[in-house]
Amino acid sequence: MTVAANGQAISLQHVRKVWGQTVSLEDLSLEVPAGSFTAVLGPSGCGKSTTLRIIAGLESVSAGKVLIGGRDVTEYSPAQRGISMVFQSYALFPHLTVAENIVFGLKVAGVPRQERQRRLNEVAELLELAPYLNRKPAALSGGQQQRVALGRAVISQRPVCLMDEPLSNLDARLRDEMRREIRRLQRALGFTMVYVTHDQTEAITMADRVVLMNKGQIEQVASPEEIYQRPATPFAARFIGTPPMNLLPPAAFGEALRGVPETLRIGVRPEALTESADGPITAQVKGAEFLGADTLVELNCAGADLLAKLPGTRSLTPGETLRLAVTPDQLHAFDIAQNSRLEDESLAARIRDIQR
Amino acid sequence: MLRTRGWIHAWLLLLPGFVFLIAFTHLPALTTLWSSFFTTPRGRRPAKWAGLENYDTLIGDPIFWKVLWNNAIYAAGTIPLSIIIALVMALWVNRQLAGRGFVRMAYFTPTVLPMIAVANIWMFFYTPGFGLIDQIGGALGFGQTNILGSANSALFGVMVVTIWKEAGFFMIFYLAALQTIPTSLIEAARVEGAGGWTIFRRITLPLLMPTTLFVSINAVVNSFRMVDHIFILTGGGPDNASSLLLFYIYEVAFRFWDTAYAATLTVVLLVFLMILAIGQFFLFDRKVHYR
Repeated sequence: MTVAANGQAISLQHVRKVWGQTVSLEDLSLEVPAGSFTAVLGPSGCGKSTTLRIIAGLESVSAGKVLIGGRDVTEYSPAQRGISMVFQSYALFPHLTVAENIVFGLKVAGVPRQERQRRLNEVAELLELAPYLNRKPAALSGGQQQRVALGRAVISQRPVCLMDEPLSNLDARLRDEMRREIRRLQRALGFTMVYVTHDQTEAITMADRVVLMNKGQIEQVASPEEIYQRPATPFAARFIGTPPMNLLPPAAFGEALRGVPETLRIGVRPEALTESADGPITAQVKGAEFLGADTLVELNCAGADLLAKLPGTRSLTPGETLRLAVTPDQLHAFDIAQNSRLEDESLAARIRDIQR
Repeated sequence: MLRTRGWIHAWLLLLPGFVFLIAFTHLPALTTLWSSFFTTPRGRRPAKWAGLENYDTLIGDPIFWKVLWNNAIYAAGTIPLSIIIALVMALWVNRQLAGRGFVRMAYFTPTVLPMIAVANIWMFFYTPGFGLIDQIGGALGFGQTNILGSANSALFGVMVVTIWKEAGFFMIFYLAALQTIPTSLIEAARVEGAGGWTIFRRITLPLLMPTTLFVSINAVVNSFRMVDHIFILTGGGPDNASSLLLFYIYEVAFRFWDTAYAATLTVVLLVFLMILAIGQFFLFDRKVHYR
């Protein structure tokens, strides 16, 4: 495949973006390694799309610098930055055929007709678009439109590809398929991918690295495994994983954690909890939801809400008391005042002791 | 039974509209066609069947050819210019600019004004000696003008007024159409390396084609239909230099009282409009992308 492009690294340095009075991004610094698949994940309004549009050059920065491949591109137009982009709405030109849509950029750049045709054939084959080249976008299904948008992004062989929630308009089955396809395309062509999504499944299954954002700031940058196993902040802990991680106050562990600061929260994933007669957590059942293979139990533990995912079908009556246990390496400690993960050995030891 | 009642219901609902449409549009049109084959009734002499005699007169009438030619110049001059100006104004006020609301309103004002009022304003501009144009021209050292009074320039003076009046109206349609073009399309084109002109030529303009079709049909119809300002500005003169087909029809019918000949002219006008509208529709339609 000759469409391969070598990725370039992207670097955001102390980027700030302000809209009138609203601060959208505050002192944001981010390194995206060349050729990586980086997902920018976060709830709506966290600034992830703004970040992407700043990399693309569709928004200007209020302060800070943007570097692509080591060049300072802060003042460059989108076209000068060597990027391609797939929009959430696909942004296909409705009056042009699929073929014209895909080669639009090449034509603008003055690539000769023969070369355009050759590359179009390659891309059409790669994305299985050959039968549709003469159709207008309106005559295509959502998935096919998505492929055309991908085709337009990869044909120019630019070193960086940006995607803004490209799968959010597709149904669930098609989304799974396109997820694998985009991943395959990125591996095969080797460009640097920045992929914005609010869907943690997409981020975790596709990306090499996940950038988790909240309220205009980066919460954590890590591999999908690490962000699940060692969330850096209470927000990261709650955002990654379904159902979200429980963050319990010290009181949930009874007398064992007396004297620790009130800002301490113990994080336990619902799937890490098991029923055990001598478990350290005592909780009252509030309700239960049957999920098929598991039962999701809603409990109350020392005034805090607690979710537990227990294997099998359980019939539970509200008000019933359950004792739950968890293995020590499945426990996380956070300080909500400092918004950070605690790696306090003595605290870890105390938590381990409760288990015995 | 239920079906029949449904039909009756539907026809009853359509009836009021039909009554007015037939009474004031279709019937007069047919009567006009019918009258064009008769002589004009005068005093005790009733109308007589004349066959194609009126059409013979029409072909031999130099004033008819003169006003038809005037109308062609008028249409060719006002339509493209008012559409281009409308498009430029719409692109301009579609941007983020300070006082956008005011500028939009200012551009649209000529549309709201009645044509008679517009003509009176322009009368003030054109008046020889102390009109606005001559006052400015005089201050700059130019001589006195008589735009409306000279056979060479009267039609152009009228055309300027029409463009001034029409452009703002067409702008509103372009503005509405521009706002339906998603910004992501423009952004995608920018990312693909297209500059402002390329984006306009390859994205914006094709997406505005349905509006252009609509506006241009309207402009063609208007170029044959709007004559109010001629009454105020020139009265068709001098020597029919600024007379248009419809204005000539009015003169023939209500000043010379030659109703049969006026009916003949009207039939010609209607046929022209029909051919132009249909032709435009088929010519353009192939190039228009409808979303």
